[in-house]
Amino acid sequence: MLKHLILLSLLLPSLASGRATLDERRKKILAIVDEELAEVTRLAKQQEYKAPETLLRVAELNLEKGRLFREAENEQYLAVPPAERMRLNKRESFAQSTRFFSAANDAALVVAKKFASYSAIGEVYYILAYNFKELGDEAQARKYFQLAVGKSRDPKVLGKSRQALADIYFNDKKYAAAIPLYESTLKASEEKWWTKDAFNLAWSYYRTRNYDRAIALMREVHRKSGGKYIDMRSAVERDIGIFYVDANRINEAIQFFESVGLSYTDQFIKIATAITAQGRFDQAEKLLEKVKGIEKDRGRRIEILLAELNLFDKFNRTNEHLATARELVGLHLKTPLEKAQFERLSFQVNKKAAELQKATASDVYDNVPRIKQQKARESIAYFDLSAQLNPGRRSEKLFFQGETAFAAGDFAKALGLYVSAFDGARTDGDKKLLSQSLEGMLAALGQSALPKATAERFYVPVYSRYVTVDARSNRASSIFVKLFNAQFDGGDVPEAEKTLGSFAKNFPGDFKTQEAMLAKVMEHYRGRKDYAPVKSYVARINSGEFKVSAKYAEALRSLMTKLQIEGVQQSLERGEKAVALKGYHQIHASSESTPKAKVNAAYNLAALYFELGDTAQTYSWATRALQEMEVADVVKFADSYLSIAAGLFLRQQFTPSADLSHRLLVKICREGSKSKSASFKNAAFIALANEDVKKAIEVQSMAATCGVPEATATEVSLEILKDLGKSKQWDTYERILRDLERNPKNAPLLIKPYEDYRRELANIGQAEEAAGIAEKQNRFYQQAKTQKLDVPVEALDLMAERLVSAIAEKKRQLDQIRLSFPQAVFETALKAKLQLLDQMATDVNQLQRVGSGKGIVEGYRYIITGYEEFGETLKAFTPPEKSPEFIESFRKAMADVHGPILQNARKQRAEVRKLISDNKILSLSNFSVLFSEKDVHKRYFTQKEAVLMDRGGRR
Amino acid sequence: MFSKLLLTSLLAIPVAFASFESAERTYGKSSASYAGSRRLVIDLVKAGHYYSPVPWMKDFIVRTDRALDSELEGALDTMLYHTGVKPFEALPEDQLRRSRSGSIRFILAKKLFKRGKPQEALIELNGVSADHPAYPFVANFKATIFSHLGNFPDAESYFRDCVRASESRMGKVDTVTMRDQLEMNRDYCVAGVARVQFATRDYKKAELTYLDIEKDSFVWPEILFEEAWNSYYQKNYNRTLGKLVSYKAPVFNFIFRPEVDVLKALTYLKMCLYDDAKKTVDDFYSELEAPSRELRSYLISRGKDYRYFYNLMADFEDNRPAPVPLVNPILRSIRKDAAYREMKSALSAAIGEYNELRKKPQTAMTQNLVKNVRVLADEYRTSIGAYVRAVLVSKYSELYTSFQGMSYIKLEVLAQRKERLYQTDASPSKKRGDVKYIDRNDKQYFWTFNGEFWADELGDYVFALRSEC
Repeated sequence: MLKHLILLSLLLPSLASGRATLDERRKKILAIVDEELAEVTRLAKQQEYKAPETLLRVAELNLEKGRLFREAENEQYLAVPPAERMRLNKRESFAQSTRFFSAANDAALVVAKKFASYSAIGEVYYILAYNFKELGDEAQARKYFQLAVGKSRDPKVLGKSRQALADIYFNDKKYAAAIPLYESTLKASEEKWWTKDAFNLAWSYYRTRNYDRAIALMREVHRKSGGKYIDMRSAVERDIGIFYVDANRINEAIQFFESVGLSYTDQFIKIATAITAQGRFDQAEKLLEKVKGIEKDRGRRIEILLAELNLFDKFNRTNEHLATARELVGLHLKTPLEKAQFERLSFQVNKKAAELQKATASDVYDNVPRIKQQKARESIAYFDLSAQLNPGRRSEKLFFQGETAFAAGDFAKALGLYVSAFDGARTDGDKKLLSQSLEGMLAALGQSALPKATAERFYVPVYSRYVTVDARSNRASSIFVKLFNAQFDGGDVPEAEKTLGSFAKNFPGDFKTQEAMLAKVMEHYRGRKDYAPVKSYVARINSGEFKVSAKYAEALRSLMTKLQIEGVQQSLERGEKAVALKGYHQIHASSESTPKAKVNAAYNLAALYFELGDTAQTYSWATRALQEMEVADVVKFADSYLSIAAGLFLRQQFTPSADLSHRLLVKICREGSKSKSASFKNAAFIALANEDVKKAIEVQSMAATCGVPEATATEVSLEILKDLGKSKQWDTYERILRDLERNPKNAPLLIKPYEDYRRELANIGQAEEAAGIAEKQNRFYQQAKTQKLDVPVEALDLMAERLVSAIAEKKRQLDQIRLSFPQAVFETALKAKLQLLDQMATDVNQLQRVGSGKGIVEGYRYIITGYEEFGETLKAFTPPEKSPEFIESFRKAMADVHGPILQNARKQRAEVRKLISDNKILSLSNFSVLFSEKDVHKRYFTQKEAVLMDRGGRR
Repeated sequence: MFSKLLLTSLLAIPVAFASFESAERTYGKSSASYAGSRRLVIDLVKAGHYYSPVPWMKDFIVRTDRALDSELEGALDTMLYHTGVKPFEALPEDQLRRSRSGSIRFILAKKLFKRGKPQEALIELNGVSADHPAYPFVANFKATIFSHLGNFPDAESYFRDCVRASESRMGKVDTVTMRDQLEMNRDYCVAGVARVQFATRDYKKAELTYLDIEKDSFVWPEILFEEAWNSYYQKNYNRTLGKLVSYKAPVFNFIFRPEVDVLKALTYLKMCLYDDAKKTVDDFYSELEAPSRELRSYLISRGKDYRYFYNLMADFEDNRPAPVPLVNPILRSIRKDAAYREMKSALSAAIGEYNELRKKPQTAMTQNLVKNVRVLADEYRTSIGAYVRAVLVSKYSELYTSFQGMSYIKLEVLAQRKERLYQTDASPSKKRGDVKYIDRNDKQYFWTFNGEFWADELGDYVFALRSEC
C-alpha cells in the first residue's frame, strides 16, 4: 500500500502534462521537487517504507507541488476576463493542484494510520488538517486540528493548531469550544495577530453572554491596537457598542464613544443597523427611539429617521415605514435634505413603491384580494411620495401608479391614472412614457373584469389618444376600428365618419375595413331612407376617395340593385302583379339599372308571365333571363326553368319547351347540377315527342361533353333507336348501336334493338349479316347471364322463342310417326314417340331456365298437346285383323301405357297454370294451355296496332 | 592458501619435552582428580602446548568451585596470551568469576560490558594489576568504558596510561605478534585520546593528537577518516576532502568504508558545492545500490552458516573471489583487520600444535590432546566465520546507513537549490581552487592533490575549493 502510494506520487504528472502554464522559475522548482520525490522514494524503499518521516516528506513534497500549481492556476484563473471566468468550471481550473493536495493527503493519512505513535504525528495531523482546509473539507480539517492539538509536541505547531481550531469553532459558532483555545493561544503568543485573535475571543465571550469579559477584552484590544499589533480599533468601535447595549450599559457606551471622539448617535445608528441585520428588530427600534429622544440636531435626526426607515424596511413594517417616509418627505419639502440623505430617502421610497407594486402584481395574494388592494394602495402612496420627491418625473410615477392599480385589478382607477400619465407625458414630450401609458390603457380596456359601462366611458378617450400617437401600425388599424365602432355605437356618426376618413387616409389599401365602416355608415343612412348620403358615398367610392375591393364594389352595385328592386318586390308581396310587371319592365328597360337588376327583372317577368299563363311571354323572358343570367344563378334557378319548360310542354308548346330545355342544358352543361340529367332527358324526349329525331340526336351528342351520367345517356340512346327504327334510318341506327355496344354492360339492352335490325337485314336478304347478329345476340345473352345483368323481358322472349322452335320441330316429328301393325312396327313407333316426348320434356326444362314467360307457356303448350295427342291416339288404337282376345289383351296392356301418359299431360297442364298464375305471365299461348280443346272457351282478339295515343299524346 | 597451507605447514614452535613427559605421567595416574588435572594443564602449558589443554582448562574452571591458585592462574595467563580470549568467552560469567586471572577478568569485563553493565565491567577490570601482561589492553578497555560513560577526563587518562603501558611492554615481549599487538593497542589508545578530545569538541587538540599516529601504523588508515571528520568539524572542508581523497590511493584498496563518500558529499554540501555533492550521491548510488541489494540477499540466503563464511574467507585468502562482487572489498578489509588476524594467528598456532602432537607417539593422552586441538581449531574456524559474517552484516548496515545519509544529503542539496529559486537565483562564480581557502597547522604539510598519490603525501592532501555558500 505504502509502496504503491509513493509510486503513485511519482507518477502524478507535473511538468509535461501540466495544464496550468508554469513560468520558468516554477518549472525549475517543480523539476527539483520531482527530483526530491524520486530521492524520497528511493529512500523510502531503502527504509522498507518503515520511516514515517520519509513518508511525511512525500506528503510535504506533494503539498509543495500542489501549492505551486495552485499559484499558477490562480494566476491563470484571475487572468481570464470576469464574464468568461463565470463560465469556467472552477474544479477543472484547479484540478492539477487539487490532485497533488489529495496525493499529499493520502500520504499523510497513511502516516497517521500506520504510525500512530510517530513522534511527529502532531505535525502530520497539522498537515492533514491544513490540507483538508485547503481542499475545503471543513469537517476533516476540524478533526485533524483537534488531533494536532492533542498530539503536537512542537509548541509552534500546537499553537497554530489551537488557533486554527479556535477559528473553526468560532466560524462554526461554537464559541464555548473556541474560548479555551483562544485563551491558551493568546497566553502563549504576543504576535501581531494577538489583537485579531483577542477580538475573536471577545466576540466568543459576548456570544456566551459573558458581557463583562467581552467588553473588558474589547477595550484591551482597542488599547493595544496599532504599533506592533494589527489595528483592530475600527472593528472594536464598530462592535463594542453592541456589547454595551446587550449588557445594558448604554451610558458607559456613550462615555466610551465620547472618550474616543466618536458621535454616539452615529454609533448607535450603526449598532441599530448591525443588530437589525441580526434580526433584533425590537432592540434596534428601541435604541433608535432612545437616541431620537435625545438628539436635537436636524441633520442627525434625519439620520435617525433614515435608520428607522431602513429598520422598518428590513422588518417589513410598511405602516411605520410609510409614516417615517412621509415625515422625511415633509422635512425635505420644507428644506431640502442633503444629497446623500435625499438619495437614501429616494431609494427607500422608490424601493418600497417597487416592492409593493411587485407584491401586488405577484400571484401570492390572488386569494386574499383585501391584502392585494392594501399593497396596491400603499404602493400608490409611495409613488405619490416619489412624485413629490421628483416632480419632474410625475408623469412616470402616475404611470407606475396606473400599473399598480392595474395589477390590483382596479382597472377603472388604472385607466384614469394612465390617461393622466399620458397627458403629462405628452406635455413633457416623453415618447416612451406616452407609449407605455397607451399600452396600459389598452390593456386595462381589454380586461373582462372592467365593467362594461366604465369601459365604454373610456373607449373614446383612450382610442382617440391612441391614434394621435400611432395612426399607421397594424394596431392602429384595429384601434381605428374600435374607435369607429365606439363612436358609431355611441351615436356619434359624424365623428365615426371622421374616423373613417382618417382610416381611409392612413390605410388606403385596407379595403376590407373601409368597406365594413362604409357599410355601417351607408346602412345607417339607408335605414333612415336617407339615400342621398348613400348615393354620395357610392359616388365617392366610384371617384376613388374610398378604395374598396372589386367584390365590395359589386356588393355596392347589388345594393343599388336592391334599392332599385326593393319597391317592385314590395308591390309583388302585396299581390299587385300588374304594378310589379310594370316595375320589372321599367327596371329592365332603364339604363341606370345594374345588369344584375336587369337579369333579376327578366327572370321575375318570366315567372310572372308563367303564373299568368302567357306562354309566349314566358318563353320570351325565360330565354332572355337564361341568356343574361350568370351560370351560377342558372344552376340555382334550374328547377324553376325546368318547371317553366314542363309547363310549356303541358300547354302543348313543344318546340319552346324543347328549346328552353335545350338552352338550359347548354347553359349548365359544365356545371355540377342535379337538374342536368333532367334537362338532358327533357330536351331529348321532348324533341322525340316533337318527332324531331335530329334534335334529339343533337341533344344526345352533348351527353359526353356535359358529363351526363351514362345510364341516362344510354336511356336516351335506346329511345332514339326506337324512333330511328321506325323511320328506317338504319345507318344512324347501327352507329348508335355500335356506340352503345362499347360498354359491355349494355349487352342485354341491345338484344332487342339488334333483333329489329336483324329482321330488317333478313328481310332485305342480308342473311349472313343477320345470322352474325343472331350469334351476337346469343353472345350478349350468355354474357348477361354470366355477369348476372338484368335482361329485358323482350330479349328473354326472343331467346326463348329460339328454343321453342326446336320443341316445335320435335312436335312435328312426333306427329309424323304413325301407329300401325304388325306388332314390331307398332312397338318401334311407340318407342320413338316416347323418346321424342322425353327429349321435348328436357327442352322445356331448359326453356324454363331462360325465364321468358311467353316462352315457358309456349313450350308447355307443345309438350301438353304432344302427350295428350299421343295418349288419345294410343287409347283409340285397335290392332287390325286381330282376334278380340288379342285386342282385349292389347288394350289392357296399352291402358298401362296411355293412362300414365295422359296423367302426365294433366299434371303438366296443372303445373303451367300455376306458373302463369304465380308469375303473372301474359302470353298468347296462355289460352291453349289453360284450357283443353274440350273446354269450350271463347277468345277475343283486337286489331293490330290498336294504340290510342303516341308518346306526344297527339294521337 | 590459508586453510590448506595452515593445516600442513610446519611452524617452528619450541617444545618443552620434559614437561610434556611429566604431563604424560600425570595423565596416566590421576587424570580424574582435581590435583591431577591441575598438574596436567600446568605441565602441558609449561611444555609449550597452549592449545591442546584448553578444553581441559575450561573443564577445570567449570568443575571447580574454588579460586585458581597462582600457579594455575599463571598457566592460564600464559595460555590466554597465546590463544587469545576467544576460547574462553563462551564460559558462563559465574564460572569466570572463580578466576582471579587478569585475563579471565578481562573476558568477564567484555561480557559484562556487552550486556550493558559498564560499571561492573570496570570493577572487574580494576582487579587486574598494572603489571599484568594484559594490562595495556585492560587500560584501553577501561578508557573506552569511561568514554562510553561520558567520563572523558578518566577516559583520556586511561588512554594515556594505555599508551605508556603498551610502549613499556613492547620491548619486553618475545614475539613479533605480541609486539605488533601492543603497538596497535598503543595507536588505538592515541586515537582514543584524540577521540576524547574530539568528543569534548577540542578539535584543534584532537587534530594534533591524531597526527601522533604514524602513517605506517596499522590503525592509521582508519584514523584518517576520523581526521577528516575532525577537519570537517573545524570547517576546514578542503582538508577534509584532502584526507578523504587519500582513500582513493591504491595502497588503501583494502579499505571499504562507504562513510568516506558520505562525508565527502556532506563536505561538498557544507561548501554549497551542490553539483559536486549531488554527483557524489548519484555516483554512490549508481556504484553501490545494486551490489548492496545483492549483498543483502546473499547474507539472507547464507544465514548463520559460519562455516560457510569461514570457507569464504579461506577461499578469498586462497585468491578465489567471493560469489558476490561487493563481498570482495569487504573480505579484503577483513584481511587487514586486527581481530581477524589474531584469530587467524591463533588458528595457525593451534594447527601447528596439532601437527606436532600427531608426530608424537600416540599415547592415550596424545590422542586426547589431538582431539582437543581439533575441537579448538573448529571453534576458531567457527569464530572466524562468525566474525566474517558479522563484518559483512556490519558493512551492509554501514551501506544502508550511508544510502540514507546520501539521500538526506541529496535532499538537502535539492532543498537548498529550491530555496535559492524561491528567493533569488544569484549564481555564484564558478572559480574553484585557491590557496587562501586552505587552513593548516604546523604539523601538516600542504599538498594539493594533482591526481597522483605519493605514500608520504597520503593524508596531507588539501583541496582549494571556494565555498559557494
